[in-house]
Amino acid sequence: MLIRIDPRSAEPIFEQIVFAVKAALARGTATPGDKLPSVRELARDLAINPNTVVRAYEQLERDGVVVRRQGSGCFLTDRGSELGLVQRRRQLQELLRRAATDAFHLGFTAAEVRTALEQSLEQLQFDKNDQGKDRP
Amino acid sequence: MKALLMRDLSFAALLTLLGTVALAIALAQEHFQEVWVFEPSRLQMTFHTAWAAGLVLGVAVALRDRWNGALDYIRHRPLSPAVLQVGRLTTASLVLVAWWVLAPAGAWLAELVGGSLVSAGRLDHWPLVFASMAPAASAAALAMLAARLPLAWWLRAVVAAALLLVGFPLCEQFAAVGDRHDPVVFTGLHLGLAVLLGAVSVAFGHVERDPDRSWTRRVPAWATAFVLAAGVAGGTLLLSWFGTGALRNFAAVLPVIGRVGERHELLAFDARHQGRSQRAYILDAEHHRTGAMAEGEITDVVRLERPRFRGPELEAPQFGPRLWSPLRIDRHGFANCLLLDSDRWTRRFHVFGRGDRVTPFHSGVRLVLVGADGFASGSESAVARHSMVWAVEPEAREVFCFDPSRDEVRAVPMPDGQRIVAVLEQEQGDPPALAGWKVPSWLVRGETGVFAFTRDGLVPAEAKAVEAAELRQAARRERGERARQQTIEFPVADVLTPTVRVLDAAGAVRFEHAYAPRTALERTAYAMGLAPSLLRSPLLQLGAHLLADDVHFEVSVFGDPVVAEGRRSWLVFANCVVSGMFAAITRRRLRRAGADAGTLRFWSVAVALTGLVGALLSEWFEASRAWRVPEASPAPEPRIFTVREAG
Amino acid sequence: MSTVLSFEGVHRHFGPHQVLRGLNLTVQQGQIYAFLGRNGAGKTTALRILMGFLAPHRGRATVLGVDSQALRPADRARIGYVGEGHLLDPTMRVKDVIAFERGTRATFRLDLAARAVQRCGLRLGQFVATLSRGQRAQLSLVLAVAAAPEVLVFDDPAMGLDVVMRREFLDAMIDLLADSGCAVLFSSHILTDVERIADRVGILHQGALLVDATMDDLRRRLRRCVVLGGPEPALGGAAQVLRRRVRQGATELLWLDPDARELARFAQEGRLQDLGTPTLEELFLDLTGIEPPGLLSESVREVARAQEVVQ
Repeated sequence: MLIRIDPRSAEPIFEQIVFAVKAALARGTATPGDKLPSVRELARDLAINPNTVVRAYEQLERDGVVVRRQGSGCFLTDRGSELGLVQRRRQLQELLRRAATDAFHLGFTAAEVRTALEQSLEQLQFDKNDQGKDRP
Repeated sequence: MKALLMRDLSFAALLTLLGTVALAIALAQEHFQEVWVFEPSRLQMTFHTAWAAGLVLGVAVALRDRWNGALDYIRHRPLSPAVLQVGRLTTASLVLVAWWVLAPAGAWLAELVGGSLVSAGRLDHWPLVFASMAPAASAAALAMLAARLPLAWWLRAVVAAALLLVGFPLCEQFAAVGDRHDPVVFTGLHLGLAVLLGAVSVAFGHVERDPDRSWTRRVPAWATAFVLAAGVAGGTLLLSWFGTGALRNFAAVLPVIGRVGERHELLAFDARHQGRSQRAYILDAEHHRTGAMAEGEITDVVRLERPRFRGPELEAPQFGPRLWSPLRIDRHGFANCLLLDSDRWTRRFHVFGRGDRVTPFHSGVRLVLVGADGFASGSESAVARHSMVWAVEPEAREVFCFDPSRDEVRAVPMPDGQRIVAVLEQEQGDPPALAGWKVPSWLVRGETGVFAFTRDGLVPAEAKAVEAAELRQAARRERGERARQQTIEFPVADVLTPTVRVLDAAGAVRFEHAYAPRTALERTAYAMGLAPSLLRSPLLQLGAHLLADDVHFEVSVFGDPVVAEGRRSWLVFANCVVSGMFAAITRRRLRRAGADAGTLRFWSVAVALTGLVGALLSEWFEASRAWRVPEASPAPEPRIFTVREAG
Repeated sequence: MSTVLSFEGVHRHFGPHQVLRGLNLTVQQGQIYAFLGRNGAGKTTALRILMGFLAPHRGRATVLGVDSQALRPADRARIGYVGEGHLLDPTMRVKDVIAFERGTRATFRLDLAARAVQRCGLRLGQFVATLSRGQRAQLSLVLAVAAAPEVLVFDDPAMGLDVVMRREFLDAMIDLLADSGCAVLFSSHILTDVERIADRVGILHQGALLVDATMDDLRRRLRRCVVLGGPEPALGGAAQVLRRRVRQGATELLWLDPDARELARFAQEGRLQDLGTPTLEELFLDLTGIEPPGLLSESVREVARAQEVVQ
């Protein structure tokens, strides 16, 4: 599982970590039972304060996404996928809203935007079929 | 603490090496025999090298971190500033101890290896050598204290110089016993001074120089007072120099009393003519000049004491009397010693008196040297290279002869066993009638005859030689008589306005004069002579006024002869008033700057007690800038602020 | 969470020049506080006051509850400090320096220091004077961290370090923080590093803190946008314009606490373009760069009058 953060984003870093874990779980890149990187490792990797990582892991634990075992670390639980979905939906809405606003600024109408979106999705499906992946 | 010392180890080793080499060279320069064979009396070069090396040591140890740029690094170690300073002092002490042990050893070994060591020397002279080197400790502590002071660098140098120039002579003065110094007291004083200065430096350990903050209250009051006193001493030194110059200017306009002439006239000498050619003139009883006299015998001139300045003297202490350490004293009381002259050992002959090696020679004993050419000359100690040496003691029945070829003194009885009545002396080439004769210049008069010295013994003297000698003797006696006849006394022994009185043998007053400024020039010089006394410390002036009785004509850092012995009380009073004024000015300046009550009190008292010098020092020690608080607009709140979480 | 470092109304002047003007700042346990400011703003002065090397004229600074002017050796043993320039004693060798630290601090971890020194590629017998600046910096940091302090105070620790070594320094600091609840106060000019690692940021400007906020807060509350057409939009009652620039004919604004909905609305209406959150560097430049008169004042009307032309 690869966790990346964007220090420029408006979201607090610990929230980004939480989201990344949940998204990975939902996307299937991580499976329940996987061990999360240790606080030290992740902090070093991301070059952030370990306390931030601790906050994120605590939040994940509160949300029931991970479970902490003394001495061994944090492990993913099953429930991640459900909770991830909620957040992913929110993210999707945000993405599309932004895209829509930018498209509007470019001078396109709603219908044109919809057509373009359909085209992109087809292209995406095509690429996916090409690679043999089939995901819901 | 141990970690601190370990860190300093290589640095200390370097300093030890440098200092040992320097001191060993200095000791070697004093000549081996002067240090280890004869009693070391005055080790001038060693003394000066020691305190100079001490200063360098102190500066190096104190400023090493600053020069390395490691100051912040060291200050943030978990060590209290006092411990840091004690660490530095300990390092310096260890280096000093190494010097005191290794330098003499090194010098001694150098002689062993490179010189012609005839005698192993006396290693129990080491304590005296050590005493000569003891000032290294006080000099090192002095430098370390000066480096620690939170003052501008030049002011630190001034304080260091003041401590040196006042402290060292004080040590010397207190250790003085007659014209020598007690080595134990001298060493103790210097080590004590070192400890005191070290303690003061520790008291200053935690303050750093910060021109915007006052330091005088953050340090114990006694430490501030001590440094202030040092500065005042230095300033008073300068004032004393000026004072002496002014006094001398005044005394220069006074004539000098010469001697009372054969016709009981008074011979005076114009003081403006210094040096060889002195102009003499005669005053009669009414003090009028009556004529000039050519240069004549001026052997018993009396001079008015001129004001001297007993200034700083950094002279090596004198521990032993100027006695040669004898290799042997014989039953007659004479000793011969070894003297290394270039690369040969020669004999030096010395007279110790009867059985007492400490007392200088028996009074009246004369040494007579008879050289290879038979010519005899007299002295009180002699290097007998190729001569015979004779010693003559009045009232004895024998004359002593020291034969350098043999290592002994033999007694030569006077012819017919007569007593020695006198020793006659005659200047060579005097009188002219005897020119061309090779005459011995010393003759022994016995009860029945006069004898001369030759290499082979005593021989009856030539009649003409006896005549000449007796003439000379008579002339000397007469001069001596005359000189003894008049007495010159000072009923008023003031340095500026003395009264002089000359009495003859009968007690009649031949001359009396009260000197005082009479002309405009004299009055100006007099006033200028008084001026420095107004500016000195009232404390010192009062002390000199009430207690001093031997600051006759000497200006020193502590004594002012102008007001000594209870003279010129009005001047002392004026001095107090002037100092009070300075105190008021200082107080006003500090109050305006915003100093607190404690600081105001301290400086009011300090300047009132120390006068002008104290006022100047307060300007630098307690700058107005340190108290000034610039107008500070209140700080705005941050534009972006996150409230803290509770807990 | 307890306060481990604090400045309480600290004033300090040098001669007529007022350097610190009522500085108020606290750092909590486990927090990383980045102390920013332009050169000469007073950061080093503040840190030296904190370490007790300089005395404030008013107010006080405390470390671990102890007044900075009264720090005892036992307190200093709990503080790791690296001053400006990573100064060490140049006449000592690397092993001497380590031995000295060990001799003066009870909690020094020799194994950690030895390992770290080895990793940095330093030889024990080397003289400090022969180390490059980067190596010296590494050594200072290793020593500070190996003493297992409760508080770390660094004055520009990344100065002179290249990218790789800066990262190594960050790693070392993170390791320490992960092991203990150490608090860190450091000043830096490398704002990209600060953005990631710092919990809280203080920007010192003209003697006082202009900004004293968490990074999360800064990200959340600040917004840049460009006015495309029409009058300047008002983005809610609590919103303030911190900086206004006129660039290439368009007005760029830095907003504090804009209303998100209003912002979205105006963006959709085409009246402004949302440029997102400013980076720390952009924020710093905006707040402390060259100031036209009357900027950073409270009233929006006053701000509207101020104009800046940047070519």
